[in-house]
Amino acid sequence: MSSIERRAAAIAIAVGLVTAGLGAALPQEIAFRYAIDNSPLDVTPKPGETLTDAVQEFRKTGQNPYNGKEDALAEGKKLYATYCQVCHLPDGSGRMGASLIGEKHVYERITNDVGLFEVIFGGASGAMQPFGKRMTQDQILKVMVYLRTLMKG
Amino acid sequence: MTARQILLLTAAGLALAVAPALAQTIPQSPAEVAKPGGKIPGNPKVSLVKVADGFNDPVGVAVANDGSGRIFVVERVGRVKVVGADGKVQAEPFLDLTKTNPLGSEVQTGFVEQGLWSIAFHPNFKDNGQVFVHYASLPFNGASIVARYTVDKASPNQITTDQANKSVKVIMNIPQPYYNHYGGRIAFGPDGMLYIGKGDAGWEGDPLDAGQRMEVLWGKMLRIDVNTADDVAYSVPKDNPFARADYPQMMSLFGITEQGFSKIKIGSRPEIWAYGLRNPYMFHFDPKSGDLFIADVGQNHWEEINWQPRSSKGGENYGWKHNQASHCHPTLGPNDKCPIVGVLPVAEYPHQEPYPGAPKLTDGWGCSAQGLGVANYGGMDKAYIVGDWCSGRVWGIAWDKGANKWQMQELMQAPFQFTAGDTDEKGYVLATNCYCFYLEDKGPLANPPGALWRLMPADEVRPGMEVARVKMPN
Repeated sequence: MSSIERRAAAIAIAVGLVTAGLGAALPQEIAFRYAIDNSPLDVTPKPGETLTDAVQEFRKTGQNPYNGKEDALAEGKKLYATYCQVCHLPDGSGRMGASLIGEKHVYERITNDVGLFEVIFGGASGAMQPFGKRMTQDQILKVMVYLRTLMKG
Repeated sequence: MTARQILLLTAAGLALAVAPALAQTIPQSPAEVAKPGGKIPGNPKVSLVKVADGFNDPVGVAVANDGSGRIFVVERVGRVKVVGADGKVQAEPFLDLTKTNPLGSEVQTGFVEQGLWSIAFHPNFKDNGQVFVHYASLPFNGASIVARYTVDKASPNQITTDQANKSVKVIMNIPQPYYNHYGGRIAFGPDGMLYIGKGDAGWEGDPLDAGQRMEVLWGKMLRIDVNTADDVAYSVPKDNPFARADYPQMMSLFGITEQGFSKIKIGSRPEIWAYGLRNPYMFHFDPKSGDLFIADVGQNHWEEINWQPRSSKGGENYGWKHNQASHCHPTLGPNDKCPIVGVLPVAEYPHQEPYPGAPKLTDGWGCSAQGLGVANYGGMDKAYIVGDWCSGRVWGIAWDKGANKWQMQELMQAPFQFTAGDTDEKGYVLATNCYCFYLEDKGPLANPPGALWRLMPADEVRPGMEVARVKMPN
């Protein structure tokens, strides 16, 4: 490596460090992906939908802030009855849709909150349509709370 | 060469000549019915390429075969949209049955299986402008109606309300006791006759025994001749299998075997082509061979795909409600024993639970077989393409000459509820997907819009084409 190249490399490393330092200082948002092919999933809200504090927190932490919240669980149960149980059945055992119970899943990513959100918001295969077109993202977080109770069986 | 050698050679020649008898056949035992996990000949690599979108609950698609390159997408609400050869969707519907009746829509859409399902173009459409539709009627309390409309040549892309009401001719009006299992597709066969896929008229378990009862039109493939005078709705083709079931004759008791007696079907509706079907929503003729494939939607455990060679004389019994696919109905367990009634399907696939209490499958399952069309490209030879409503799986089903059996292969898993298909003027298979919803159904205009896709060989996909996100099988 020539002296000029060495200098250039040093600058590049320095720039890289600065960039990394800046990155750490800025709030990082989760990069969501489609379950079916892992391609980037755009989570821009529907027209007219505002993102709640819970959704904004979820986008940073990847953890559902409604976990353990009784109100959210009750709301999630109602949403499940409206949108989910026709295919997944009231107990989550599945018929037209996949079983949600137990530890083995068609999309393993649903064991974590980000993956579960990705499947519900962006859809997966077949009739698991993108419910981001029907529910707000806040509602999806609430139905996720109820789903966790079903998944435990 | 000795005489003995000549004899042996002749025998070998005869054996070779006999070999074609092993050609494509209907399975004779459940073991011969193709199941997921096989490989169809040609090793097809295909993609779904978007043709157009923005359709409200698209549940049917057809082409006119008039050289215009137009594709007609059926919207459940009661409209037919026309997609030009350039892929643009015309804003004004080609046909709008929500406007023809001043008292309200002509079409009943209260349940997701109700609506306008299909449009079929007369083989001489280019000259006579005749189109046929099949829908659930609102004025007739959900009865299914087959009706003919005629295009005004001065307005080739739109049958106006006036023209619709001026030209309409009702062909059939079939009462419907329940709101499900209507069937749906109508299509002209290579023989010029109109075929109608008619479901068992509903509920579950076929409480009317419609599949096996010969005096009802439910649970059947029907075949009629629509080339009649305007004051005659339709006629029964003379070569329909039960066309002469009521032919008057003196009762004869002597010299007839029990097998002969068993073939007497007095009282059968002469329109019946095949029976023992549950809900043949989609069926397709192979444009090349004229063979017929029927995707019969199953109940809780199995989906079945039936095949008839072009040479079929009709009269096949596909077994519902005694069997679903090659299995017993009702399905009780993994080793049920029951007679196979009638003709076996060529392929079948399970639901998530192949029998009550079975371990849940994580692969190779579906819930509702929607035939899309017969593919003769991309290495495929007479491969029936079937899309599943629940799992989004796309199957190819074809005869494998080398292995001398039917094969069923998963080509991809798409994020779609497949509803319908047809082949376009170039022979490519088309498919529609909707975001229809059983529960919380707020009507046929409330769901996110669906789209029209074309199944293309992957190596024909060009930059700029929108390809569906799919999961390829392992």
